[in-house]
Order: sequence, then C-alpha cells, then structure tokens
Amino acid sequence: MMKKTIAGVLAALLFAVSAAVGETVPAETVVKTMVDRVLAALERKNLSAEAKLDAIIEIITPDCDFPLMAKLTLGAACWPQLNETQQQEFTDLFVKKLRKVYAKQVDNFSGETVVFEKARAVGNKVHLMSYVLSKGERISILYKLYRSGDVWKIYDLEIQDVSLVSSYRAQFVPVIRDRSPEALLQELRAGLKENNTN
Amino acid sequence: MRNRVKCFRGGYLICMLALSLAAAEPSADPDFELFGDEFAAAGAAADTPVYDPLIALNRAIFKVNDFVYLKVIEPVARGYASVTPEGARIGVRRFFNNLGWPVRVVNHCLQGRFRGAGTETKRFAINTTVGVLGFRDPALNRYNLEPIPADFGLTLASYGIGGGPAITLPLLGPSNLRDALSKFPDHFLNPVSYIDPWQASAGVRIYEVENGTSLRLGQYGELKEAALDPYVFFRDAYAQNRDKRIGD
Repeated sequence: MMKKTIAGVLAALLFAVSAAVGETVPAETVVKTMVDRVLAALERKNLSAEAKLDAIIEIITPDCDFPLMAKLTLGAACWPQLNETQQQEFTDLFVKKLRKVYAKQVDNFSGETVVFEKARAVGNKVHLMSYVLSKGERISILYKLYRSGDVWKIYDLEIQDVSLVSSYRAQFVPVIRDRSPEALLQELRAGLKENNTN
Repeated sequence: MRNRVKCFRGGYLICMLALSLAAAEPSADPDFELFGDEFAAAGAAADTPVYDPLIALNRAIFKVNDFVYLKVIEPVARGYASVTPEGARIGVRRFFNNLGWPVRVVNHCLQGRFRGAGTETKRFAINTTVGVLGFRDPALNRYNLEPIPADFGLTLASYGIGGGPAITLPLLGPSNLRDALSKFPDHFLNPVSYIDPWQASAGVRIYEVENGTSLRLGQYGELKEAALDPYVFFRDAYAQNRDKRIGD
C-alpha cells in the first residue's frame, strides 16, 4: 500500500516535471519577462552603473543568442573564412563590443514605458514589435526570435527598422573581403582598447 | 545470383556513401541554413553593400558633417537645453512636425494612400486645435492616431524609382540621389519655406534643428562609438530605414 502511494507520488512528480520541461515558453513571454526584469533592474537606485550593467547582462544572456548573432554578422560567406580560434575570438570581441555599447545606453532607458504589439510568426521565427516612449517620440524595437531546441532565443534586434546584425554585417564583411579576417579582429581589439582608456 | 545481389548491394553502399559525402561537402552549417539569406536579402544590408560610387566624396562630406555636428550643432543644443525645460522642447518639436502636414498629405495622395492622407489630416486638425497649434499630441495620446510618414522620396519609390547612388548631403547627412532631389518639392510644401526674408526662414530652420538635437544629445556619439566604420554604419542605417518604409 505504502509502496504504491510512493510510486504514485513519484509518478505524479515525474509527470509534472516532464510537463514543465516539455512546455516551451512562448516567444512573447520570453521577451516580455526579460524586458520587465531589465526595467526593474534599471530602477534599482542603490546599484552603481557598473553593477546595474552586470545585472542586466545576467538577465539578458540566457535569452539572447550572442554567439549566433556574432556568426550571423559575418554570414555564410565570411564566417568559414575564420579558423576556429579566430571564430572564438571574434565571438568574444563582438560580445564585448555589444556590452560596451549597451553600457553607455543603460541610463538613457530608465523610466521609459514599453508597449508591445502582438507577436507575429514569420516562417519558423517569431517577430515581436515593441515601442519605447521616449520624450514624446516612439522608438520602435523589433525582437526577432528563433527556436533553439525547446526555447525561443533572440537572434536580432531592429531598432527604428535598423537591424543590428545587418548593420554590423555591412561593416564587417568589407573588411574581411578587402583585407583579411585578422584585420577585422585587429580593428575590433583596437576599438575595445580605445574605449577602455576613456 | 548471390554474387549479383552482393554486387548490387555494393553499388548501393557506394551510392549511399557518395550521396552522404556530397551532402556533407558544402559545409552545411545548420545555423546559416536556418537563417538562409535573411540578412543578405535585406537589399541595403546585403553582402554587396549600398551602391556608393562616390564613396570618397561621401566620406569627406561625412567627416565635415561629423565635425560640424559635434563642435557646433550639438554644443549649441546643449546650451539651449540647459536653459529650456524638456517639456517645452518636446512641444516645439511637435509644433514643427505638425507643420509638415502638407508634405505628408500631398505625398500620401500622390501615392494613392488616401487612408494615410486621412489619418494625417485628422491628426493635423486635432493637434492644431485641441493640441494648441501642435504643441501637444492629443491625436496620438487620446485618439490613438499614429503618425504615418510620407515624403517625395517615398512617393518616387512607390512609382518604382530606385534610390540610385548614395549621397551624403552637407549638414543633412546620408541620403541617396532620389531622396536628395526629393527635398526640393518637399521644401515647397513646408510653410517654414515661405517665411519672408529668407534669413528669417533659415533662422527658423536652424532653430528647428537645434531643438531636435537638444532632445537626442549624445546619441550620435554613442552610435558612432558602437560602429566599426561610422560612415558605413550611418549610410547603411539610412538605406535600411528607407527600404523598410518603402516596403510598408
């Protein structure tokens, strides 16, 4: 009798767990939860700017596929031109660059309201449009997500219709094509150093 | 008989092997397959960049613009911002936007987008009256009427005219041949152009620019820093933004 009950409880538990695992969180929820948490982190007055940034990076990292973004900025034509070590370093530098960029923007966005439109399925991806109301102006931010295993992840952002991946691609690809992968890495390294001294 | 079967099997195996090799050969990266040419297809953002035969000249003008913006336009706007409350500056920006109504309505009509013309007219009517000459935006805030941009460049695009070569305009920044020429007809649809001595008209324009700049202080510098090649970034961002509007 006892054994049976335990087995029943175990089975129920297992079922609950597997249900929780098997159920994919909708793309819309992924973005909204992330944005809510970021906005909440921005409001924390007792944190220094640097600590805030760390908190935000921690919030967005699981939902944003940065390595994939890095790869997409080079595209199928240029990515294979980098050897494995270079690919690793490029990804690393690209993520650092995004971090630097975002660091400067953090305080611009505190206290803003964000409105979401309905998510739109585009092929096997999901696009979610949002608007940040800033000084009476609407700034559009489009989140683009793809399904990675059983979670939705962000692979590109379009801010005021300008895609992050596309605009970096337009800048990176000519460097690789006209010079070399190493030249691109060098420029990225130099850019990061410059920022550090400032 | 047995031999034949064996032979057949052998051939089959070789075929399979060859097939699987062939499939594996063009380094089929699943990531790139998943995204296909999503980013390459975005016209402006393709691996073949924006058509820019005058790149040397454009880069030179970009440099001058960059200097003028950072050394003159932005510092003036910063000073102005320090003595003018933000709410007032937002109102002024709305006021000038509201004056752009003829440009938008005429171009919506030229494109046969009468809904756009209607919405813009409703916005103009509400904001000019209830919104106190356009200083406020009750059309959006109370009636949810979103602005729908339109200009002559978009009108020409809707007739199938491409952007042509990229052109960086002095002071005005990145553009292309089509959009640069389109500034003339739009100029004549803007009431500010009709202010009598032209010096006063120019003064009002400069004030409009300074007021707009005062609401995005530092943004240009941040974007510039985020870029690897700022000229390419702004040129490309302009092209992407326009492409999107044309597609809408």
